[in-house]
Amino acid sequence: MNPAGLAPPRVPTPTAVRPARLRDLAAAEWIKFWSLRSTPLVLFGLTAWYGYRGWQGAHDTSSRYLAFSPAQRAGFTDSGLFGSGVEWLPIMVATGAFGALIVVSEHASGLIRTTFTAVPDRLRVVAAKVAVLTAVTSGLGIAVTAEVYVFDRAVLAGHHLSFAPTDPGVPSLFVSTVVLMPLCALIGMAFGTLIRNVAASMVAVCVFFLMVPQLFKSPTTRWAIDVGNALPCYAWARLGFLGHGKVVGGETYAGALAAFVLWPLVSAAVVAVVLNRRDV
Amino acid sequence: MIDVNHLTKRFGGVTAVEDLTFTVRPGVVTGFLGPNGAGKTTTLRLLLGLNTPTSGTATVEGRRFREFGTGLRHVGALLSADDVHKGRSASAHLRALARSNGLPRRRVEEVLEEVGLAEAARRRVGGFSLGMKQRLGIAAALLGDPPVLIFDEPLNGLDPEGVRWVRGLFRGLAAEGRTVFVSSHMMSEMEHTAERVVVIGNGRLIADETLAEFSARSTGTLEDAFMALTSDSVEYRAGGAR
Repeated sequence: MNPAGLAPPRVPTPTAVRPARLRDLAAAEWIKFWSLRSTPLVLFGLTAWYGYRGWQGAHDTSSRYLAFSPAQRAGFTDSGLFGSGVEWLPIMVATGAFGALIVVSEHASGLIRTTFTAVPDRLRVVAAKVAVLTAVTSGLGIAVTAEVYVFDRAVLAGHHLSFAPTDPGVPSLFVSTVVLMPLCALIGMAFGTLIRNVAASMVAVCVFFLMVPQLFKSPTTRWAIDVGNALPCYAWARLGFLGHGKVVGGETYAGALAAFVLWPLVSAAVVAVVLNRRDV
Repeated sequence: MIDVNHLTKRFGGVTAVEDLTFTVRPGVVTGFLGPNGAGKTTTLRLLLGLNTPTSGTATVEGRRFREFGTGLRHVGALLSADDVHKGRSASAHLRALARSNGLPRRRVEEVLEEVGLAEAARRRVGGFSLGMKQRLGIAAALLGDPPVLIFDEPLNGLDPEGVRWVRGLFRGLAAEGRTVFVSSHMMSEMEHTAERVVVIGNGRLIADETLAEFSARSTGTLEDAFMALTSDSVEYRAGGAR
């Protein structure tokens, strides 16, 4: 008998249903991600914008190339939108903002408490969020890279660089551009986790991806060169077509590769440690 | 069963909960009472692993809540009706929660039906009234059919029909042998809902007894007994400036 003098309870045992797996958590985060109206709109908008800019960039490059003398044409290696680092800054900001919002929106709405009450093992929540964010932004990276490449091929193939998928540097450009998206998203996620405020997180993302690279555009001291080389945009430039030491002098391919590996790992670690310890 | 043992929580120099010890048993609705700022919500957050205690322990079925990999099948909780993203539909909110705990999708439809939100399932939560959000929060708590249920001020914003329904629901859940722990700052709310009460003030335990024992503390109403008991621990009092 219980204190109320009732018959033995018929309370269901918690083992009556199969235990949740990590993929269930990832599926839950997937539902959360796509169930906001703005998410598909923003992703579609970004893809459409880069399609348009890719087409336009390829035509601009073609026009410049045709206006050159044969001697100038020989040294001309620019290729459409991939030839402009500045053009890729907005998508770095956008994916960074996506990453920040995946955490900040839960803090701002209070949903984080519901999430952690449903799943007390916070590290599993972080793993699921990182997995979904990485998958979605990688998909965005693949879509954007592919469409820009297709326009480049369609417009420029008959003019100068063959720019075939197997040409030296091209696979590296593709992979680094695709990886750049989740990398920026995870950095944004770390900002969002540390800051917790929507407006301040957005400002931090903009400052980091737009303004900080400007500070290290023409570094003169050793430390400034090292910091500049480690920034995502310059590391990406070194790994991709803009490389060959032309954007930031002194950076090695291995250094850029290390930056590409460390940024996401450190960002995910920051998110995991902070969210696991914090009172919400 | 909920066990709170010498639980203390300090935020900087502010002590929200101090050396709190009580047990919430299954089979009855237990009210958790105290004036505004008494430490009720902090205690519930400590219980649910959302805040880390400065000292002491809070356990559910003998385990700290954060030791459960997933929570919905062990504890159903409504801490605040606003702890939901306003841009999602009620259905999407619950589907995500259910999936995170490996619960079948039909549970979402069942609990929406149970709380009376089936027809509003596809509407965005931002358009919900407070009462509807309370119902959604209760639906989330019921999703995993858990043996322990915790509700923080669940009657706020509910219409009279909703209040009556919730009282019946809580009593029914307790009658099934579940542990039902309901916080409120209104004694009148608990009068018709709880059979036991845990009363705190300034983060300290004031009473842990049956409603009848609590009632015997005063010759007046239950509210009189509550007011007399907590008068020293009311932190925010109106009317000082007039």
